[in-house]
Amino acid sequence: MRGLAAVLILAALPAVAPGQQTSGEIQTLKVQGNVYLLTGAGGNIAVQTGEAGVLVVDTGLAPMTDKVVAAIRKLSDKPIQYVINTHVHPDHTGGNDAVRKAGLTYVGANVTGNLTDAGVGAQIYAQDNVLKRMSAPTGVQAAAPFGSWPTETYLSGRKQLFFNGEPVEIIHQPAAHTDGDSLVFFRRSDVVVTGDIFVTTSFPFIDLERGGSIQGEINALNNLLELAIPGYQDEGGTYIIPGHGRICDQPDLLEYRDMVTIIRDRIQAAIQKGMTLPQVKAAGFTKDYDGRFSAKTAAPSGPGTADNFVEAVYKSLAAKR
Amino acid sequence: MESLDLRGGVEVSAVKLMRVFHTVSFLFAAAVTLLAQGQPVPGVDLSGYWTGAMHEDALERGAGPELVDYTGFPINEAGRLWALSYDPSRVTLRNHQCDGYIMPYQVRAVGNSRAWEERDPHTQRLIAIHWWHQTFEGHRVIWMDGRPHPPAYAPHTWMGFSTGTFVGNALVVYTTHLKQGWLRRNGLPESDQATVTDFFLRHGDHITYTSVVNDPVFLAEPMVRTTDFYRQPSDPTSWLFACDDGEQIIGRAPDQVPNYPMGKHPFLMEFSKTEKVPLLAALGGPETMYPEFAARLKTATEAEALARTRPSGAPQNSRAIDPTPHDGEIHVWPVRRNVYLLAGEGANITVLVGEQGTFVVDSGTGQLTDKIIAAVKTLSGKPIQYIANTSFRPDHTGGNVKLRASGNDPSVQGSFFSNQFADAGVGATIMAHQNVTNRMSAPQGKAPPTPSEGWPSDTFLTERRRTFQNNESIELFHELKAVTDGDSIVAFRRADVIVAGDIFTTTQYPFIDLNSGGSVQGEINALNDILNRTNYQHEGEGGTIIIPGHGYVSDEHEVTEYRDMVVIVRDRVQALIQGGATLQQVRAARVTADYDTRYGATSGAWTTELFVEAVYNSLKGGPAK
Amino acid sequence: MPVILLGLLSCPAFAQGPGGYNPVAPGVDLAGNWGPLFHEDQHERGPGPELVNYLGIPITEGARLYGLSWDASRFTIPEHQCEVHIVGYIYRGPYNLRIWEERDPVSQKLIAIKQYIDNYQQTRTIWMDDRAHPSEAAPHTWMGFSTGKWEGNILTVYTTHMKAGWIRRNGLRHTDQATLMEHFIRHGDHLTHTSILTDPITLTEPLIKTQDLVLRLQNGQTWLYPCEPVVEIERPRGTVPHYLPGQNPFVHEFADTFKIPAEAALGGAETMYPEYQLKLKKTGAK
Repeated sequence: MRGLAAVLILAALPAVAPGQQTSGEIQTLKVQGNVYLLTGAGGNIAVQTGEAGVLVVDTGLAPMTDKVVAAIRKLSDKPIQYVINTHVHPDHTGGNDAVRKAGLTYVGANVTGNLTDAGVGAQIYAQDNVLKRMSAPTGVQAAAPFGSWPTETYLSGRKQLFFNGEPVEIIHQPAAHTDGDSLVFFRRSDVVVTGDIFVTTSFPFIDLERGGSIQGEINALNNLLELAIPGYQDEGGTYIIPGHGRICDQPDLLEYRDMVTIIRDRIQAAIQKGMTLPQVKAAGFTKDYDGRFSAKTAAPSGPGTADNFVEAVYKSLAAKR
Repeated sequence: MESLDLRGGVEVSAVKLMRVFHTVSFLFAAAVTLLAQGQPVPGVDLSGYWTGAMHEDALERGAGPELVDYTGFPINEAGRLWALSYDPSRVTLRNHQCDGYIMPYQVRAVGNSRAWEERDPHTQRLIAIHWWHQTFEGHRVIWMDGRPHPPAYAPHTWMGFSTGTFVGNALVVYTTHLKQGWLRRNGLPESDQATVTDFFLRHGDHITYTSVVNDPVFLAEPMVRTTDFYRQPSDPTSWLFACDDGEQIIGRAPDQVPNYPMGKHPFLMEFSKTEKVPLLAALGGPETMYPEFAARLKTATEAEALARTRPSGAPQNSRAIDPTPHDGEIHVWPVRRNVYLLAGEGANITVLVGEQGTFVVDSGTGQLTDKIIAAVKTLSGKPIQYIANTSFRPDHTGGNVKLRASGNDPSVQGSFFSNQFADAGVGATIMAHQNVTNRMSAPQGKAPPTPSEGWPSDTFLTERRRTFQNNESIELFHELKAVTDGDSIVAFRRADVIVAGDIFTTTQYPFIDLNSGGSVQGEINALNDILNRTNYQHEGEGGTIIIPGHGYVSDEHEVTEYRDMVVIVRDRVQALIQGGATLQQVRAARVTADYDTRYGATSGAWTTELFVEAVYNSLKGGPAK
Repeated sequence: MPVILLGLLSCPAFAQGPGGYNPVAPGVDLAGNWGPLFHEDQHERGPGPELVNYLGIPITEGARLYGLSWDASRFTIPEHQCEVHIVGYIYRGPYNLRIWEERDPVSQKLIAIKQYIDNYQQTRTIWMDDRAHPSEAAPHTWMGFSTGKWEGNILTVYTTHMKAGWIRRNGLRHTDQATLMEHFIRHGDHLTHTSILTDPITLTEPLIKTQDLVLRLQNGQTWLYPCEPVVEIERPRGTVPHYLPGQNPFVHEFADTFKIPAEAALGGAETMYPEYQLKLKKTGAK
């Protein structure tokens, strides 16, 4: 009934900024199959457990690592054998060194006779550009400590592991939010970990400096959409762990993909009309999404804010022409 | 040791070995009788750490055999030609990098081995003897409890399925269900039809291991080899074999399989010249096993040898056993989780059961549909709700009408559809690519349309159809112009099972039907698409299960070998076409000579000739409709 | 039919953890098969709301832009085809509703009130056992996570963890941050359902709606809703149908047809109140 006139006193709802991680403590949630989510350490962390050991996707911020490892230990006391990084950013790789050290690699094989440290620590898998951006030639200051660097990289397509009774596919998404993005797909658990290609907490951060592009980001979102199959009544099914934010499924991802595509379309049309970046920013092309997705960061143009996103999309599209 | 070593060393008469073999076979039979009477034949303790005595055949076991050294191997023409086309760069392909060693080649490798017993905790009877071989981490189980071998449609593995018994102090083992692999890793193949009888003779801290390989596909006579092990008193602590496939060569097209064209092996003469061995000997064959061959060499000519590098003789029929039972019964085989195989009627039928109605892939020829329905009932009390067809072929859709009528689709009954249509939900819903319905309803030529009740009503036009049923994500992927223009593979994600339809079989050359829109490039693309969706579990084996349209339950390795075969045949025909060859000339070239003993047919519905013709016409863009 | 609802909401209690088995307020039996009455708002609930008809909905500017950008062809995208009506909207459409109780077999305490809505085959659980809502990181669903309690004879329900969904299915959408308050009021064989949607991102004020149902004694309704996505229109991968800002071709269609000022059709909180008519008179709008 429209026009209902009444005086209703509603409680002030607890103020919840979209998907903001509560700081200080790690929260553990079971996702599906063998896969769990650890949230609260920066970027989301996925943990796969089972008979074979533990596999960790992303390792959060460095200061939180002790709590992360403790949370992993609560899930399983078996050895951490693999770390996979979805991309290079420090809120996903900061704990690499410590988590790696907390794990091991099973050795006693044909090669290890020559390598004294072959079994020390878990393996860290990532797309090759992650290693490139974390490391540096001898004599140059590296972006990240040596112990954090991936030990195993791949260049293109996908890297396959089989662990804890299921295929674990690391699928490269070229030039997405960075140039080193991977999706991690646990096939039989039917869970995919997206890194910051998909978040519920802000606009995507297209990191142009690190090889990101809006077209690659959109391709990645569409690849994800194809990979995710909803369950009964269009919910559940493939669960998606975003880089930040809650556990999602295909319809949640769909909203995000639509949003990114629509904003790209608007900016694309504006560029074709010859609008400058200041004009595009003033045009308010993200007004229908700002309330939900513009990050509330200390800096007004920090990653995930409308301003930052619009600028990155504009530059990314303009560069292609 | 090889039976005949032309480089000097100890010669052992093959005849003598055959006598031993026959004696042991007799004793083997006696032991089997004892077993049948329920009394275990007391054996010998083989437990312990063992390592290969590498002084024997060190060069070929360690560093490796030379290319085109087949001396003393009783290979037939198919085996020789297969080996001569093998380019070692094939092992750089991702799907081959971590291929395990099959039995008995496994024991030839370097590395540590270990044997231990498994005994029943109550009766202390011996259940199995286990062997662990470090290289490729081969874990072999020799069942000692008299159990039967699995049916022919069961999966094959690197180690195969082994049963053993003690004959005197010898452990005699019989192995079936081996994957295709190495007879010798310079290209000599051992097919997935091989069976192996092996003997373990322990004397003190020494085991002499003798293997006899029977391979109707690639061998003219059994291949006998011995390998010695000595016991290691302390744990060598090196038991693993790390193998992780990676990108070795970037930028290769997905349909590139390194192979040497027929008659164009670049290293044909290398071993022969270096070791001063006549080429005729280097090319192997049963006669090269016997001492009498030395006399033969005196009159050997290079021309005679060169003739052996190309196909000669008559086209061959497959010597593979047909894995499909033909006893008029439907056989149920659990695949994984809630997925089952129904074998015994036309093409393979796959079934997904659960708390909802049953999802069936393909329906056979229509002859045993009642038994199919009965078999499905033993798996689930729910009605058959969906039938998916991988293609329109009659051996995949023949049962559609009856199977559909036996089920119903409750998702439609009691919905707003059923207010509009009196027959909504009556009968199962049949789903397939639209071209399946097109061909079933309006077939080419003189064939009448099939009954409309069997036509898929739930069709899709583009790349993919997905649904969620029985707690499983199901995807139908359309494979463009593969064997027909309506092919789909069905992927069950959480069970990690792919149903391939006629795109992949273990029984025949791909039935590429140009008149129905098939093409060899599409078939190759489809096989590669399947391989993009598979993951092996360990050292190239297990993991994603692929159910072929016909044949035994497979994994990535079988699909890889099949893909390799199709690509290599395509490459050969392509080269001939580029040289201006006619179809007649291509036929005469016998481009499938190394594969005919495995897949060939000189008569029947789908022959080698028809396959080669399809490849030829497909590449020429020829008379497809 | 304006109804004044006063003193019904002890919302502060909800904010701390709603729901609970209160032996002093034992509640009312809502079980049975219920069918909606469409004499109220039939036009928008049945055939559907017109494009760019946002009258009386307190939308924010952002929500308005979203609506004006929304192209109805978005429904043809396979992933959108089987979208379920969000819990705040599902009661507006056609459906058959079945309500039943779930009780502890030993203590006979009420654990949950269950609802099944055949439209989109949704099973809804309203927890009546004082349990907490899940963490923020938990998945959101179409029906959300609901806890309820009796306030006198009224079932009051608080729902969080909803997905994004329709405010109105002509393009007005709330976010996944929305929360929903409902009251189920049974009087005889009549059920009045009031819903209050709160989403500061898309609504400047809570949106209140009511709909009525009657008890259906006879069975024989349809209870299923099959939906399978298929490719309806072949398009380049990733296409999302929408109108660029300022290019919605139907911006005036509803307003002109019903001779309503265009700005009124664009909605907003002030269009909810009767005072708005005075404003229209002042501006001379017809």
